[in-house]
Amino acid sequence: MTKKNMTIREMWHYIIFQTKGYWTMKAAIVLGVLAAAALPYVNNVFYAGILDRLVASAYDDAARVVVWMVSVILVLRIVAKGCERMVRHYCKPCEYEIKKRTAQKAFSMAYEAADRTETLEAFRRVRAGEKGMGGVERQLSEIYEYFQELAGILFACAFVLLLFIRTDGAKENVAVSLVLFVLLFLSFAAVLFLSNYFSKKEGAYMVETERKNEMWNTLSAYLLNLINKETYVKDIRLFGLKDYLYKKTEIFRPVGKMYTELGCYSGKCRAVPAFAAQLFAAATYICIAAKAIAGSITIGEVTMYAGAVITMVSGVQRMLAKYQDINYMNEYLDTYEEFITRPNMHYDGTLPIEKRDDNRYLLELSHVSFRYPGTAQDILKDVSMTFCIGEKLALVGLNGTGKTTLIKLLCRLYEPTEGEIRLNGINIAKYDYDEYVRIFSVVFQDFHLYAFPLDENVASGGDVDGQRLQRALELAGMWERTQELPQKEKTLLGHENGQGVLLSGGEAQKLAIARALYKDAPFIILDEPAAALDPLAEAAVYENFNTLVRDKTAIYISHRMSSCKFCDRIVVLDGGRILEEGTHETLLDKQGRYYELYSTQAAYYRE
Amino acid sequence: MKKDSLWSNYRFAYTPLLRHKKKIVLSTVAEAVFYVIVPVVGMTITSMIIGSLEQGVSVWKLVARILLAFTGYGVLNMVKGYLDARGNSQYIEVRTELFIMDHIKKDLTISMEQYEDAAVQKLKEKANDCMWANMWGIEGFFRHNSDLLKSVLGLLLYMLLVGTMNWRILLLLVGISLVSASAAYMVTRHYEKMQDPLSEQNMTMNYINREVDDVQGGKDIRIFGLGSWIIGKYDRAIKNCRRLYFRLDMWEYGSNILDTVLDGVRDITCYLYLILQLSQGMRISEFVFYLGLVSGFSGWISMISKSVVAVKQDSDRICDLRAYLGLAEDAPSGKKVDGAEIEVVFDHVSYRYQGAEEYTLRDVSFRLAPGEKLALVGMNGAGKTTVVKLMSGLYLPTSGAVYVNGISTRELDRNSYFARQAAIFQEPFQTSYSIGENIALAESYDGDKIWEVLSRAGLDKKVRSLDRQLETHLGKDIAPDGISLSGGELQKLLLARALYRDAPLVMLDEPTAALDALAETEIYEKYHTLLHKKSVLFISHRLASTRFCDRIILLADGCIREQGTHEELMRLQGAYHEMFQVQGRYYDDPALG
Repeated sequence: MTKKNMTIREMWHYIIFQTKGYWTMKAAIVLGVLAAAALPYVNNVFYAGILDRLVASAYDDAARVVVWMVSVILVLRIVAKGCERMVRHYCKPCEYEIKKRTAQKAFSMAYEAADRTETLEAFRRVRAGEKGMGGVERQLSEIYEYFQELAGILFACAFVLLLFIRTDGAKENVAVSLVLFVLLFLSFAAVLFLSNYFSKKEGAYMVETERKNEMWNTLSAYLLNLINKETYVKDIRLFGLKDYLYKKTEIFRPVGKMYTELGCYSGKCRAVPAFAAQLFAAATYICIAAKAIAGSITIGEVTMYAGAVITMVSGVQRMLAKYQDINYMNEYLDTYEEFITRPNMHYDGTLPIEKRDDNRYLLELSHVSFRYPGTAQDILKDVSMTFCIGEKLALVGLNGTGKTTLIKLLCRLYEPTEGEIRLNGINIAKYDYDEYVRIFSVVFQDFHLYAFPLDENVASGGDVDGQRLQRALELAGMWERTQELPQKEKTLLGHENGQGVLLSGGEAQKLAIARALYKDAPFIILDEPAAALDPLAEAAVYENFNTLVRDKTAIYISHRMSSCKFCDRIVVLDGGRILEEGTHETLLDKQGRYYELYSTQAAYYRE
Repeated sequence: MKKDSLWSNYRFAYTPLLRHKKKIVLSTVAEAVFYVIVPVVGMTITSMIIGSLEQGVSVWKLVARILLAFTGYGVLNMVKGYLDARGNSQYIEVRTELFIMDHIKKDLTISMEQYEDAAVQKLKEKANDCMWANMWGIEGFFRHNSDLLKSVLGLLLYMLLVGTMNWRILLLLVGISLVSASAAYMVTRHYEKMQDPLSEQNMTMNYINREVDDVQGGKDIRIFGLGSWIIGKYDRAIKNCRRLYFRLDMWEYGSNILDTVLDGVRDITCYLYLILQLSQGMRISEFVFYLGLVSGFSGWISMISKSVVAVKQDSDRICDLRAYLGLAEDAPSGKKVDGAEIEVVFDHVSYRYQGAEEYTLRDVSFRLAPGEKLALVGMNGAGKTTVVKLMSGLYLPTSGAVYVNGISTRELDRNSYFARQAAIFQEPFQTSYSIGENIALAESYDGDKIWEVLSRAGLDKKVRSLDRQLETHLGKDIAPDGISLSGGELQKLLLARALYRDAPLVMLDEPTAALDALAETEIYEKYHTLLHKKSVLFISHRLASTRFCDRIILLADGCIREQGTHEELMRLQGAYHEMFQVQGRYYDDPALG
């Protein structure tokens, strides 16, 4: 990882970008930072004035200054706090916004890219980093505070300059005071150097600890998930894995010590600059007190100038520490930005799909080969086939022969490595993606439902057509069950987003089928749609599909060879190639792979 | 459930700390002392310098005094800096070394029924929230108590110092601080009230964030265009959060303004009082010192009120944690299940899930004889998996009894019974550790025996072809070079695991649903030959596969509808016959001859 430090300009742009560049926010940031930074110095000036009047025994005068001081500070504080509130009020939603944009991106970028382990790893790192150090919100408030320290230091510099200008040649030796100032400046530089040196050292140790911890984090997340996973709970108990897994988790123990060691190391790193800063404070007081004794400045001004100089040192130290944090966090947050700005890849086709009421869409594969990115093995080899309009096609083959991959290519989740897929004669990559997928309804083997209301799941969105919903649920054999649910079709699914209902595997599968039916697309693809269904439900699904599919083009994948009999044509895949092709009858006559699969299962059912 | 008191939570948290982590206790106390002393010393030094100037001491004397004072002050700051940094991270160690392992042990030992209980689930989530966080919960408790200690010590010291000056000023300071603390408390109350609506919004957003991590779901999102729907939910949650936070921000700003005004009142009063004192002969150096005390005073009070609120919240969370850790354990002393064979008898067993109104199983009676192969078939939701859970002893019947070799599952030592059975479920349990560990389910195993069961299960060739053989990891969670097995291979691995365990009772719950026809047949044959001496309960939707079983039970709506051999049930022409016909009808092909 190359480390690039943020400049002040970049920080400003970052905060403005996150707050959408509203001029009110810009004004609030500038005003808030200046007011907050000015507070201690304003206080010092008034305080000096009060002390001087008290030394001169002008008590009434001093009291008047007190009233002034309190009023001015009151106004400044209310302004500073108000602006800060405004900025912070904006920071929290930024956190949500960036995650929302990430989700948006994950949903719209190429599936192929989202599927890559590298993307996922980067993601996990960001999320882990956020847990440890806070996310965008924290980063924004750190930057805000950084600006505040910066403004404070500018004020302090003004005071130091003033102090230098006020050398009265008549009362003190100008050369001595000059030497003193040079010495003061040098010791200031020394303190800064030390602070910087040690804070870098601390930062490096911190990064190293986090890296060590990263491995631990992954492992602990894995183990905790394993221990608490709903489907594994029974296995863990039945197989008596309590002690085995407990022993695996023993690795948790030493991690805490690592952090105490980090704390001790940080402590040591901070101790030296802390001591140096006090020596510098001593030097400051000596310089200023010398001027006071010489009579160039008053006693009251001693507190004012010393206060300014010492605030400057601690301000610079805090600023350095913040700078470390900001850059450290920035490395993590960059991953988000990088992710969000990734191209949408081949989803950027522009051709619209011709709207056809007769559903006459012709899909053809021409010499398609495919291998997953980063692997050497071809999953599909030189596959050519045509999906005839209105045809019901079965894809058959052993586990791992590329059936599901073929579906993924048809849906443009992946692009063929070689060859092309054409819709009505045009390469599918040229179509607008949203339009293209509109012609497909798919029930994937590992379909996914969401923890939102049932009807919205089936309708794939918030606009639900009641009649269409009922029809889809009826056809999938889920209508009656839906009516038994506590809030009927409005019932929330799952427990992840509030208290909903947990559906059985079979019921969930029926909902996934209902979703595909609701969409009513010209192509219907079913990848093992009945694996979790009992025999009667399974038969009902197949038979309903036949009445529904009618003029549509359908593709079935199933290990239950009985379902193939419904189909007009059967394609047998083997090792990524088309092995056999034909109707049920012709393939049985051929006595090849299809015959083998079919007769193996049929053997069980013959008396 | 009775909630633990604050004091008993103190005992819960601090007893192990005092016993095992004396160094951390010491460091906490030292941290507090230095935290309080350092600012007072700082004020003393300023006041000393002003005093020296007031008295007009010589330059060299002043230089000596300043150097001496700041060297000492520097050392104090050094120690304080070290202790602060240490204090900021030392409680992670307390949490991971003294508390986490008990929590994990509980996760592993709560019973299946407890795990599935909705109330326990909720408690478990809360306990997790208490344990797996840095800034609240158990770790927060230590952090916030450390703050509390600092602020109480600070307040006492300042009260003492201000009190020696003037008790009326002390009274004024305490009064003002109380007003501002109660305003802060009101804001906190408001904040707490908003937690529920806020966490509802957060739940939705966190849920969607988790979905983003799940790549598999990405297919459906693209095909069905679910993106805008889900993002719409996100937008609504953000909008709601904004509204809630806006109200909270206004409250907080109100309390900020009140604080500012109160500080103003305090400053004017104290300054004027001290000026009055000055006019009556007080020294300016004293004036400087006392003003420092006055402005630091309210800091301690607000720190106290903040840490008290935080400690209270942490304590509530600790109550959840302790309630979870205190869940009843299985009685370890039950009757042990002996004998080389297992016989299970269901005697009028009914079962109802907690919170459910209807029974899942009603009056189910049957016997699994030693060495018998029993198939359980039925529609989705007929209660088949519940039978498995009752038979294995994971559940206890609501009424009736399950007898294992004559002992009711209510009375037996569950763990000894678990050790006598092997189960294979549809979603197979596998870890990302090595193949050897996955079969033995232990860290150390007998290599020869593993190879033997692998060859019986028909997986030895595959494993021998791997570079690291038995040491090969499954999945990439732990080792980057881990492999993944195909569905058929995985089923063979599970079979090898069952054989390695050599248990007399084997339960198979739809293990082959995702296999192709050839792999399925191969697995059935293996079951048939390898499990012949064992008592087997087999669940499958594929009725044909039940043919290797001695007897079939058909479950419908929680009751036994039919039972007998395949031939008997077919002759019966009942529900089994119908299901078999439906499934087999398309295989009835003249072409097969």
